[in-house]
Amino acid sequence: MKHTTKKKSSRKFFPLIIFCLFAVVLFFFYPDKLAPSIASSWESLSQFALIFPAIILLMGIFTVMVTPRVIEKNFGKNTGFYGALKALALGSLMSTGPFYLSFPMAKNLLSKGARVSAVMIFVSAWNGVGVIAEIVELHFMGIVFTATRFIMTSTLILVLGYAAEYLFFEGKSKK
Amino acid sequence: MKNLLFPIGVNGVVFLVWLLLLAKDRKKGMLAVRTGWETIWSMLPFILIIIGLIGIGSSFVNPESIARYLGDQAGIKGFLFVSLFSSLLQIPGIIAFPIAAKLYESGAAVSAVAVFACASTMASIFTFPLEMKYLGRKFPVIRIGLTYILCVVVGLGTGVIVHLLK
Repeated sequence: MKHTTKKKSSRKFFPLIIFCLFAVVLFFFYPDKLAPSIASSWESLSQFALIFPAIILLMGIFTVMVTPRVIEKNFGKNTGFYGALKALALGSLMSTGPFYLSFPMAKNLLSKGARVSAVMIFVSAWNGVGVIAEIVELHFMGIVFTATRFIMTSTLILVLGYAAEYLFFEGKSKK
Repeated sequence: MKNLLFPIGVNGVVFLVWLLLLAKDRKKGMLAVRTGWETIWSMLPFILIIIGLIGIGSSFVNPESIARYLGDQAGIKGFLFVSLFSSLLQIPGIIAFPIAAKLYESGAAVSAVAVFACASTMASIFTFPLEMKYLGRKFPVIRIGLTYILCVVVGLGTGVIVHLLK
């Protein structure tokens, strides 16, 4: 077990090593660009480092508290607008791990009888308005941008859910 | 360092929440730290690559050309290019926003930055086959299509509203 995780993590760093080699070659030919590049990267990195502890803790807290079981239990057979809002909230709390985990989860929810609109909203909210991503956005982009985009995106995600459900069943309802 | 208040506040609040969890359930609290760290650790190579690329990008591409192609004077062409380009690949929000911030600082229009933030986190044409494997053909076609429209509307809307508020 331990061996496999070790192997996996070393493979994860492979792209980074490739990138470093690329950077070395690049700066060999353009040595004058090295200092401004490092200065700019350092600025981004230090901005990032400021909220790093919060991101690590939040990711952990959400992963532990908002498990697939919790999602399934809360999704239930909730229909109507309340169900849609719930899907939006649950999706935004699921902002942990890689996004492609949302597909098997969506399949599972659909097979358990969840509405297409709710699942659409769930997947969109997971990727679009995740709580952790919103914190990063607030930190980097400021309140005006973040609030505007957040309000517009979450409202339109609800519309998207219903529109998607309509399109999804359009072929079937016409007999 | 600009705006230290927000990071201090966020770190403080999250730490308090974590302490509450720890007090309620010691095991879960410790598990949260470990899984959180593992998640970030698995993303770390990509975060570092993106940060490196931000540095290289900003020293090789001068702000004037970003302003020319993605700025206000670029018009709808720049906006559409960003919207299509960022729909291709899905990247996590925590990586997308440092790039968005750099584009904005370099003179890209608010609408272009907003559509980048939206489309790069929500739409994912490259992972269509994977999505299809789980959910059939119809679900991803409808989802990605509608998401693209959503991103364009949000991008333009955010551009207009932020412009009016400033």
